Amino acid sequence: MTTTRHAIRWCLLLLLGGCSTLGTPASPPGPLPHGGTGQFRALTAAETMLGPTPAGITLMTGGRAIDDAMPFQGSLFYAAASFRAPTDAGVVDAAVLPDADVDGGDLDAGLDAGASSDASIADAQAPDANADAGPRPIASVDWSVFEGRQIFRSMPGQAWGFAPGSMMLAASESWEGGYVTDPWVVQRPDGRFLLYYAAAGGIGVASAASLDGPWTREGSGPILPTTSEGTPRRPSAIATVGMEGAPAPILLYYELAGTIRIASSTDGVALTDLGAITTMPIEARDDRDGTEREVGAPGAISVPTPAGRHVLRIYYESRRDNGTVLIAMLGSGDGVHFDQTLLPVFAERDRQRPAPRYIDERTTLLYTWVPSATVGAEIASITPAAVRLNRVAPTTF
Amino acid sequence: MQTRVHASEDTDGSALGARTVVAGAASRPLMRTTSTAVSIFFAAVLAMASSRASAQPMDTYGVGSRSIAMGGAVTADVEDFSANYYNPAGLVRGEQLRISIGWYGAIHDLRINGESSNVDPLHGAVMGLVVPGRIGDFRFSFGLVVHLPDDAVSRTRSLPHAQPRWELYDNRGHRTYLAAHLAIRPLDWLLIGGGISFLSLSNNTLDIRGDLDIAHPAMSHLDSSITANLTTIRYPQAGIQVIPIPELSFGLVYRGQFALDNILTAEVGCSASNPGCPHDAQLTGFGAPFRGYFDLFTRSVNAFVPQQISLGGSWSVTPQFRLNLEVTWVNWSSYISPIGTSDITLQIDLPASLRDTIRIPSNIAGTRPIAANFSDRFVPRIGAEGIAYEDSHLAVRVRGGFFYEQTPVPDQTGMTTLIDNDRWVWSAGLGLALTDLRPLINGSLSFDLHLSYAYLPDRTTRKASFVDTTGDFVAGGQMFIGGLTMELAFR
Repeated sequence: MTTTRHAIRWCLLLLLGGCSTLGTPASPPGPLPHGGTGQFRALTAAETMLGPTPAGITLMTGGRAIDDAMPFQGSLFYAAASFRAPTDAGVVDAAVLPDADVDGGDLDAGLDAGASSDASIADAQAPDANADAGPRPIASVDWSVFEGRQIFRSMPGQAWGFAPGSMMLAASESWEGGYVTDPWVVQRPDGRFLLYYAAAGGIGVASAASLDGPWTREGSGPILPTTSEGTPRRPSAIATVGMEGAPAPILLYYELAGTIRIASSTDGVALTDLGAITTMPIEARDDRDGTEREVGAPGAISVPTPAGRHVLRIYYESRRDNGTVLIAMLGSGDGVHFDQTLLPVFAERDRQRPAPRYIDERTTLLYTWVPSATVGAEIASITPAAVRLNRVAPTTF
Repeated sequence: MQTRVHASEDTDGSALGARTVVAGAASRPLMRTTSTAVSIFFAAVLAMASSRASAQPMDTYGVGSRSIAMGGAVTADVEDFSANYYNPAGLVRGEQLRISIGWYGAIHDLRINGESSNVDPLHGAVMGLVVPGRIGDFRFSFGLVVHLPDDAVSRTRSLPHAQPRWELYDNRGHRTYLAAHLAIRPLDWLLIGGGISFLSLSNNTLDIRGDLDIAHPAMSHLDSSITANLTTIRYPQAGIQVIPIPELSFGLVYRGQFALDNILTAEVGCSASNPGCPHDAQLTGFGAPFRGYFDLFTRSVNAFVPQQISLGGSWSVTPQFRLNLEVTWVNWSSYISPIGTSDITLQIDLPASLRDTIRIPSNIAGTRPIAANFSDRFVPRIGAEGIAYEDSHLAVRVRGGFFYEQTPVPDQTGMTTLIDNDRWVWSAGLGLALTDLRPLINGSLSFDLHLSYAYLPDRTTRKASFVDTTGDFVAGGQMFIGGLTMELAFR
């Protein structure tokens, strides 16, 4: 009997032990750091709270076309132009004008395919209605039917910078050729803001004590004028605070003749040419990617890392011989020596003019431009693609 | 849970000296029997041990409340069921039948860039047996220990090669461990033990067959089957204890190396080289069906435990106080990276009419193992045990321990991000022994509690490539470990 009682007691103990062995599913990995290397995906309307326009598209206010944009301290600096009123001679070809209401309609049709990039390529200039079979070159905006582009700053404090805001800079100099575009803002170590922009005669710069302006041009001409090599375009500058081994407080990256070049500066105005960045051609994922023809449109950002340094990331266009565009990435510790991704950071083949926005060590936003329905649109994308943003009040992000 | 008072006929009456007393009786008449038994012992151990074995969580969390509370510094001073891990020779140190059961838990607060990494807690039951025996004056003992996690009998996880992971804590503890050992005492001052530990090798096969309608996915018809095999794998362990004088003992133990492979294969359809296989797959939706074939093979090491050698000493400074010191060499340099091999084959016989519409990549790159380049490490340990109270019915013991484990993982500046940090571990414990339970049973009942705290100071990693998918990061954290063990010892 004693043995039996002991056996029963031990069985009860074992049963208690067994009851503790109730399985639970494994936890997913916690938030992981990410180097901003993609893959990017377009933000959804649920994330941006900007429905019913296609995912992440912004700045589609009626009567304007968008050229280029960059995020800076909670707002977007962007170039836009209104439709030009028809002249007596009727120089505006109605066939290329988009609908007066561009707040959705046509763009939805072009962009609702999401990651399927080919479907989002501009339809207005598609050479063949049955063009699904192969890659199509990206359409461009015919700026001759618009007024001269001006630079705007979106309303501050809005989550995505998609509220139109107010005009910051308009063309006034003869070398500008009636328009200014490709804005890029950087804050100098002395606190003053610099606004780089492109115009007909090259790249100019204006400065201001406040982001609200007024913006005053530095000098009477471009700081990077047109040369025999071509006209510099797409300026992108960073302050090198925290970057180890950077040659100057300001580094300016820009596009010239199918290459990305570097210039350094102490004050952001007087530049020293540091030559072109040597990049390896981005590999084609399949034959729709074509072969790299040239690079350009750098979008640079200096990112703080948890390791106590800043690193530079440059997103840029890899333009292909079949007319498509891939977005690739360079990284650097000093701003002049680079590592490079070998594959695009976007699945799509129609995104252009990348402009990064650093959120935290896990998340990077990338604003890109697409020439849809002959007007431009900005799309906000995010990496890593698996990140889902919670709905947040526009003023809190 | 140690029941050292009245532990055996060899005891000197002191609680702490009970396990260290060597009987003066000569064993020469039994020398022939001993020699034969030793031969059988080693033959049995060698027969059971194979070249492959499994991972276990003991290296990280320990086993048995007394041993954990003493910082694991018990190679020269263990005789309860935890000897199955720390030194199987200790199984024959006492002469009591011991039955142990306990519960343990570990909470991980591990962080990357200040954010929790969601490393799951580990908890479960642990059970063990020590069964002594005697043939004439020749003493031997069998031991058994089972570590049974609550959440999963075994968990495998294959992550993308560039994904950051807490390499030594994320998944390795989540597996069942079973060890069986045999110990002999050929001489009164010499104890020898050895045996094997068991775990499973996972081998998973996924077969899919049927037709896939590309244009109308809902019309697809696919049959799938999964075959998962958990095959036993084993690794050897052997140790000795030497007791030259009652107040002093030494221990040496060897634990074998093992790796847990994780194999996954997935095959859809028949390859071009095997067109007659019974599970052909067709793609439909674009006119006439056409054949498709997909094959995935991945092989990685889900958990790897390196071979180890521990050398320790135990000194009974006074009858009421014992001090243990030891060092463990861990052969981390042989660590096999979890970044495994993967091969992908995709064959689709597209009709000519679709070749301009559907693009099939000519080659899908797989992955190849990346060397881990871990470094060997020496892990110093110290443990102490004292008697706080003792009478004829009750003994209360307090314990403490510490060990420092320098991380074997090199700076992760390259493609992989196997996160690990130095580990400073402090532990403490309390033992309550009811030493006289007669007439209920002729034995003793003990309860042992352990608590330990592990601190992993922040480690900063700067990636060599500025387009690394992870980028720079700082990782660190802490762990809280606790448990309770109950032991019933019969004389």
